[in-house]
Amino acid sequence: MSVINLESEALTTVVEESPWRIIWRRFKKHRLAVAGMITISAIALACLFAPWIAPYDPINEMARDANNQILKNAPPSLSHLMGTDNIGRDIFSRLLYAGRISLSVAFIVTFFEIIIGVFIGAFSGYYGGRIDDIIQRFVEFLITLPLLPLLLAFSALMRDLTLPGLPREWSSAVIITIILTIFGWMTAAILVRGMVLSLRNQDFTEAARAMGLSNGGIIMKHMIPNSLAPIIVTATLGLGGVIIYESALSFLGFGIQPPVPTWGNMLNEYQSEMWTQPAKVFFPGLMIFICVLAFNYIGDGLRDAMDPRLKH
Amino acid sequence: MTSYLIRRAFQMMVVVLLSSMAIYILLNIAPGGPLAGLKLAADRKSRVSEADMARLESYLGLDKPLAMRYLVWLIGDDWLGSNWMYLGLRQYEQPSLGRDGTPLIQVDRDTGEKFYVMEKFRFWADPGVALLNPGYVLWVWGQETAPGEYKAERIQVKPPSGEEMPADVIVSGKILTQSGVEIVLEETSGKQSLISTDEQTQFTFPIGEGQPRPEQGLWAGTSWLTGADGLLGRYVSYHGDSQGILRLDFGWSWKLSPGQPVIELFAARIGNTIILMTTAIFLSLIVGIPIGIYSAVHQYSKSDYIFTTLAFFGSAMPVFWFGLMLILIFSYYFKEWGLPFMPSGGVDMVREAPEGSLLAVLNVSPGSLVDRGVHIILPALMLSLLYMAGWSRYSRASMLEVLRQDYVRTARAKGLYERVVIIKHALRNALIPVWTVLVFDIALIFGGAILTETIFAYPGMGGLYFDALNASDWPVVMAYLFITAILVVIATLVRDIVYTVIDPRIRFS
Repeated sequence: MSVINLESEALTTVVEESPWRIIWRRFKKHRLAVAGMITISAIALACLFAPWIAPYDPINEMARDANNQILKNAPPSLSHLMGTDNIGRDIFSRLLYAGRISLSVAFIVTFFEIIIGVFIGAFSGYYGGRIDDIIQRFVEFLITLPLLPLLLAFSALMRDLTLPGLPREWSSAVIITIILTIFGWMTAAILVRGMVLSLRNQDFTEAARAMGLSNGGIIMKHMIPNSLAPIIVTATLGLGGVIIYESALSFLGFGIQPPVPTWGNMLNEYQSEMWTQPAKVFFPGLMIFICVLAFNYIGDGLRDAMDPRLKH
Repeated sequence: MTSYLIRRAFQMMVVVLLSSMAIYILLNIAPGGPLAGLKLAADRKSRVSEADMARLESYLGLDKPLAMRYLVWLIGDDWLGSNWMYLGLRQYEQPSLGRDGTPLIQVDRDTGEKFYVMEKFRFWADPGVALLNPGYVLWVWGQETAPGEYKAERIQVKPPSGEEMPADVIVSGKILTQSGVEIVLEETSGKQSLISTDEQTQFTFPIGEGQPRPEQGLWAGTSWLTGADGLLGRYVSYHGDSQGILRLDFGWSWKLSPGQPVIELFAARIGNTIILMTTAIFLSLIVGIPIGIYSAVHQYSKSDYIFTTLAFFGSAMPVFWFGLMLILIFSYYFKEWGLPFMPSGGVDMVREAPEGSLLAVLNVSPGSLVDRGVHIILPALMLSLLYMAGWSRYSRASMLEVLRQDYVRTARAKGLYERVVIIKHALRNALIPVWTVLVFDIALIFGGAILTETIFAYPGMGGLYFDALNASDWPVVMAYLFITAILVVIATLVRDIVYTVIDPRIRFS
């Protein structure tokens, strides 16, 4: 066997581990992150299979006691794990169904916010000059717009809009997703631009340019991967915010309306009774708390795992 | 750098203008509005009549076209309907005059010292001729250039009653019309004469009606814009006395405290907000950053996990829910359990401290520093828990990065103590990104925390904004958002400059 063969064999064995496996290997070191991932997966699966898991119908079924009276505001018990609400619906079942909309809106909004923010931020920081000026002033402009009146105005304009081929609650979920994304990508853009500003003048960028890599290639291969760390931190911190904004929207009469449950509108619905039945408002808040906490752990772990400067 | 700053300053103005314009439009197209409640009345008895509604609308200026209202909000309406404006562009100060024309004098309560009440002007406009409403009586000094036509040197408007008419007066009578620099006067005999004025013409206004004019400044003709035939000629009747936000006239509140100047509402609350926000930010920094540093140094240890959880605790909860839970536990349940409970809101005691509360236990006198301190505990605790997550994450991330750099390895290789390496070498560089985030809190310190202040009934800027928005008190909302927009824009500029200071490789030019 020739030396050349040996060398090529050696090379292939070195290359074998894919970047995703490296990330996964590093990610596993952060035990809280793994715990967070398991929690989120469990909650997401439970919500996804809500029709099979939830013991009661979330909208139409009223709990009844032995005398066939509707059981309103029941405390948590074995048959109703988290009690019932003021018209006798099972809170546990409602929470599971609510999670479907809340979680998907949160995931999708954050995902698109990050995508848009990263590209615009990297573009703005890398090219600099007039392009940077225009984009940054536009970002400032969007930041100075107040969210609440903005949502009010939008809610008035788009209240009765439904998308063809979708049930009503999902079509309003899509519209909310779009609105929250449009007004939420700026934080990511600012952060990435800041990172790229300092990256673009560093030696490795010069080297990449000298080797003939195009501007687009440099942005994709060097600028964005190197600025991912703070982005992931913001993204995970922002996930909870999306759930909260969704609840604010529901509160304003836009967004997903009761009786279709979301964690946000359940929180709003039960808030008025928190002095008399604190347990009711406790559970939706707890769900949001657990999910956001888990997201944050995952983000922490991902940040550690995806750091390009980490070589082992 | 200078040209960069000039360019940025120009861009900042454009951004603030555009955003204020967008916000103004937004408020107007959003459903509701200041009069929405009146229109909702169901029965005839409580319904406001059409005429009353129209009167209210014109009182609030809502009957004017949107663009015109925005312009008036921005630069005031005291210049409308004038053909000549006197502009004083420098900032100057002069004693403000009372109704009788004498300067107002204030007496210091403690020292008994007397001093003038000073008025500050930055941009000053005197509508001059146009203020002479039709019907005013004029005495004109000047030359007759043609029969019935005069060139005025000095004009006296309505001399005080009882004063003799000056001997050298040539014309006296009432103004019929005025157009540009020309005034048509009807004399007592019924004869009409044309008076032309110019920059040199001196006006003497009756006491209390004339406005003092700054030393520096110039007359500017505006007849093409605001004259009778000008672009804005048909808005002559909108002439008022508001100066517009650019001349620091924030207007007056419509609903929260009708008739009170917005600036007074702000002045009463800004102190509370600054105290709350600086306390919260300071607390979150001194807890959050050490947590971040510690978790970075002891990555993946048990204490890392515990501190990480602690840092995330506050930010993982919906703000509203978290605040209500805090009140529920520390005010409501503590009371039930017989523990010293916390006040659930406010900034100091209005009544005597309730039996068994923390305030009563500490025997606090109302309005004292301790009283305020106790009231600020819950909101500040909540806010700092909220901000802590961000600080600890950012500092952990950048610390982890720094710890792997060559110079830290060199420092370790030199045999320095680990503590020295971390504090002296790593920490300084790790904190750099944190500063850039901190800059953005300039706007936050003014704006306050909207939800937190609302939940804890804390009289600050954020709560005021929330209330104003709910009540459609647009002047308050607009002033708040305008100032925040300016602060955001300034914060971005400072951030960009901080970037270049931190990393000299970054250049803007």
